[in-house]
Amino acid sequence: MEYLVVSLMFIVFLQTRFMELRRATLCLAVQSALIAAACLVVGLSHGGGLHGWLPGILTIAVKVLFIPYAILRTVKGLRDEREIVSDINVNYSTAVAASSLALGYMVIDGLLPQAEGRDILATSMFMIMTGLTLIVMRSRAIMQMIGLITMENGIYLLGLIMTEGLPLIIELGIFLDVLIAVVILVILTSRLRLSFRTTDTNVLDKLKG
Amino acid sequence: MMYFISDVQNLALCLLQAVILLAVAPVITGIVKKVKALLQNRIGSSIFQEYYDIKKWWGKPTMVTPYTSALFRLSPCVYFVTTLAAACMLPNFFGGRAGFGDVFVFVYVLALGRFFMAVSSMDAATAFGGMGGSREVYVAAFVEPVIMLAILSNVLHTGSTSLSGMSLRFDEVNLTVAGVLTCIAFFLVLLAENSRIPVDNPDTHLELTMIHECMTLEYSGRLLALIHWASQLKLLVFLLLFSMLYLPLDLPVALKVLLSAVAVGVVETLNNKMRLFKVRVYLAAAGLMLLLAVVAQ
Amino acid sequence: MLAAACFGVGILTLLFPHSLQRYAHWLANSAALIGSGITAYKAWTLLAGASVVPLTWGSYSLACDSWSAVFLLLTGIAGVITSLYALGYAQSYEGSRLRLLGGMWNLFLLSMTLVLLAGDAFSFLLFWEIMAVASFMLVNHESEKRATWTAAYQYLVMTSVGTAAIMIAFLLTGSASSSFSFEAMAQNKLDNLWQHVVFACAFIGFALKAGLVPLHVWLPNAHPAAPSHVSALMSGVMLKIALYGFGRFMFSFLPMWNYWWCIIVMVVGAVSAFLGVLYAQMENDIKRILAYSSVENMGVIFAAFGCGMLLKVLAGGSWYYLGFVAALVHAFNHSIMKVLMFMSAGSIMHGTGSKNIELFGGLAKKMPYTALFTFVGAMALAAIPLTNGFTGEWLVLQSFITLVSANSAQTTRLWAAVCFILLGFTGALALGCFVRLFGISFLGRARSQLVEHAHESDKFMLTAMGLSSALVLICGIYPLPMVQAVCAALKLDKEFAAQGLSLAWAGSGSLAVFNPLLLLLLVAVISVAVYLCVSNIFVEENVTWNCGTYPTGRQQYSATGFSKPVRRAFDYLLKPKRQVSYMRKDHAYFGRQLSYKLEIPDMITEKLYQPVQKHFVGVSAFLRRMQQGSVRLYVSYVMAAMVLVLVWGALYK
Repeated sequence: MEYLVVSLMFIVFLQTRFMELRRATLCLAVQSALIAAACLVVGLSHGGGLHGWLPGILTIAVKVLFIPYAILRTVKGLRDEREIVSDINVNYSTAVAASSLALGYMVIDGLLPQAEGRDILATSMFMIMTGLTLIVMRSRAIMQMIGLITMENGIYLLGLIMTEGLPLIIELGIFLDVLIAVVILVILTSRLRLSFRTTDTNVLDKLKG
Repeated sequence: MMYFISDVQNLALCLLQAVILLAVAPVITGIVKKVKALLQNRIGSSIFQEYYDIKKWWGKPTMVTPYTSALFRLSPCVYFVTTLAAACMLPNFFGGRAGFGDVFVFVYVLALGRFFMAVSSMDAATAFGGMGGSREVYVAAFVEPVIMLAILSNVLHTGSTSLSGMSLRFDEVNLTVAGVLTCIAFFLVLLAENSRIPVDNPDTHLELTMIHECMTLEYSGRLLALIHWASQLKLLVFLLLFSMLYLPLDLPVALKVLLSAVAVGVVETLNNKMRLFKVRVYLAAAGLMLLLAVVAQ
Repeated sequence: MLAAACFGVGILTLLFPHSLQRYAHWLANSAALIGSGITAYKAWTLLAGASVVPLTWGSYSLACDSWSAVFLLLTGIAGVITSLYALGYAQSYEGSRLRLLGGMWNLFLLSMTLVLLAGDAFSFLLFWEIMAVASFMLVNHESEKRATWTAAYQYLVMTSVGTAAIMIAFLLTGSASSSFSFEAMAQNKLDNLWQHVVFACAFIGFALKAGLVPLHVWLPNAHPAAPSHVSALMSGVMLKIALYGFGRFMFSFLPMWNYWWCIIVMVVGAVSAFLGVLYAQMENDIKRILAYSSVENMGVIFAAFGCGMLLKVLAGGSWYYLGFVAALVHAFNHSIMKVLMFMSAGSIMHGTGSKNIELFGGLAKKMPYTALFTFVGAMALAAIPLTNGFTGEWLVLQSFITLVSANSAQTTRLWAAVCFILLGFTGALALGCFVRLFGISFLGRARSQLVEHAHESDKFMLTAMGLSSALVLICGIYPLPMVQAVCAALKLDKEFAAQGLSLAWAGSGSLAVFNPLLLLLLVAVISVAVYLCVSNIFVEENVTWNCGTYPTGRQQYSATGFSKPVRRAFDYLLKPKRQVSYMRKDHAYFGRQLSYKLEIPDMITEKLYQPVQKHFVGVSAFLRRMQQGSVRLYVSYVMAAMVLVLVWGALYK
């Protein structure tokens, strides 16, 4: 489990450094695979049987296979868009991610002093904050989506750790992923592209009240 | 029911008193005019001239405009009736008490008469009528709070609001600061309410200088007689009120009334009519005196 | 219950199809009529001693005690009269949402009745809101005109503010007691500071609804915009419901009264009375005059209420009830008088098509019955004896006198003297105002063409007006049943005896009496005598002497001119703006044309409301800078908040 945690941290750090869409998506897939592995581990350790395997399989199916596939398909369709890639420097993103890891540890130590899974909890907090950072600091819609899914993975992990066993809430989390993926990612991004010929969300600044 | 019968008996006595006052009222106005004449180095008309005037008007025909409504003919009657009713409310010479109203009712019954007169002033569709009516309600707007304050001051002194109660404790001489202030202020109010100089000129018919006369400009014949008689009765009623409630001298009431009538004449001669918009200052001064009197008790 | 069913039927007429709208109209208004009649009857039996079982449903309840019974009686009577009037009047709205008018009318009456019957805070607030919304829809009925919907919008905003204040007061009181029902809130345990806050919120909320200065600005706009029977009911009943709510707060929830509260209530009431009637005299629109007159009378009612509170706080003894009796009696009388006057304003509008009294004159010849009833109403509102306006006024004055003489603290005496002065001004200015209203509209000659085509109202409107005039005169001449009913409502033994009203005075033992029957008798006797003298006068008709010229209708006084002396006397309060411009000069010596424009700005709106509005708009514009339209910025706001919360939670456990 500890190896999982460390590699998860590493992958998320790596995520903040990719600017191209394909590579970022592949990184996301790896990240989700690690989350699925964590799910399998937890499921198996709380008694096996179908109920232990099923959430893990579902997680793999949705998070590792379906969502990156959907993103890649959308990316493939982004052929004729204007290339205004105005992202902030990746180093800033990494710096913010590092500080949020530190923040995560500090918060966990403050709130739950003698917790057992201290690392995992801190990692989940770290993932949430990093996901938010990615949303804030990336201006392309697909990248923001990736940030959102990172955040969701963090919440998923937190839920996984905090609850005993694998209750319904896990399955709900998975299905929310599907919703996010299909609705927002595919449909809205294509609408954005149709309207503005670009997926740079800075064009939405015109819509202020 | 027994109360009712005895109240009705009281009422009859009060009515008798009021009729006597009605008979006496023109003389008082005559006295005022005679005083004014003597001070102006004239001989003037006799003090019974008002009787002759009323008799003269009584015999003349009444002329009305086709623009008026029935209200025009009704108003002088109402004015007369209310002034007579107010005279009934005065404290009784015969010892009974009027069981149907206290001083607020008194003031508002007079307001009933004023309402009808002011409304009918607009009836003849002339500019004079509107002028008289608007000035009358303007003066009334300032006179009423001052009268209220005078009543308040008297109530604080005597502790009752019925008219007989207010004059009951007046065998003693009230020469306190409050009493003197109230007396002077009520005299000013008396002049304002009865359309005397310095508020209004009762002898003139120029539209710049009249308020009460202006309202009644269109009347003639018996209606005019009723109005004049009612105004004279109102002056007598106010003089009686002044003497009984406010004048701090130890004399019989009739003598006090005569004295006040002479005082009215003297004041009328010594002053001239104020500009209309100075009336509020005049009445505000009276009000301020009364406020001081209220505070001083 | 039966009344509620009648109202329910009336509400359902909303759903009638368009072709049946005439039947909808008849049915709706008849249902309202019957419902109000039942309400009045039930309230009367309640006051006479019957008792009503409260209905409860969970934590909501409907209960009726004597304080609500008085107002129910008032609502019922006013509802009967105005529904009768609406049968005739609302026919002119045919084709423009008549069903909505009828249905909303019933909803309005039902909600007002239920507000009075509410037994706990939530149902009170629920029905209060329904009442506000129903009245908004009724006010906004002629929403094609710009004046109407701006007025209705202003009304809605202000009544929401008032409801918010009342809600705060209720919530604070309820949270300090065991439950939210009125009996439980009567035993609340608020400490001193919160009592002040509750008083302030309740007073602001109910004063706004009752139309006291400076929260009255919706009244003169909303009442002219609404159809006449709606204005009548709003002015006659809805303002009194605010009094009901305030009274419930004062009597049940805050039994220990602070000295300054009483002074505030009294002074605000007196100032509203004075300013109300002052502005009333300056207006040219009949309904605005009547609206300001409502402000005035509500001010008098609240001043009397404050006087009663002060009497109870200071004097103790048994004279404290005088102020409350005065307030209730005047409330009752005012609702009848105001209903009558609004109905007559509606008749005038119906007959001539305009509301501007400057265009009338000589209407008494075309509309004699309306003129007669308006005259009775004008007399009543000017507080003339023999009408019921005077009964209330007399009681109010007596209560102030009692206040002044019952204790000798100089400051109290000064406050009471100031209020007394203001009330004196109010009485006299009200007289002037209604002389002007009646005189300019109905007497004299026509000032414009509108009068030529005026016609009398139809029988329903006349019956309704006649009914309320009769009530005005009856309650003026024989006020005893009403006063005894009010005393029963306040649970006092009947101090008023015999045929008149007599108070045994604490001061010197003599009585302060007012017996209208005797007065009437006296007046009748004298009138008979006078009539006999005057009846055979020889009357000649001839045109008025006008210094040689033929008199025209335009030589009469106009309404603006009539109020000129008062306007000039108070110009430091009113600050009228005059604008005179010379337009044409044909001849060197005469023949100039002038244009004269007079405008009296609403001081309260300018000095109090507009600065507040500007301030709010300025602050909002400043805060708008936070909204840049970028999603990422908003997400970063969320993130910052989250980080802050986490750090705070972690560090400051």
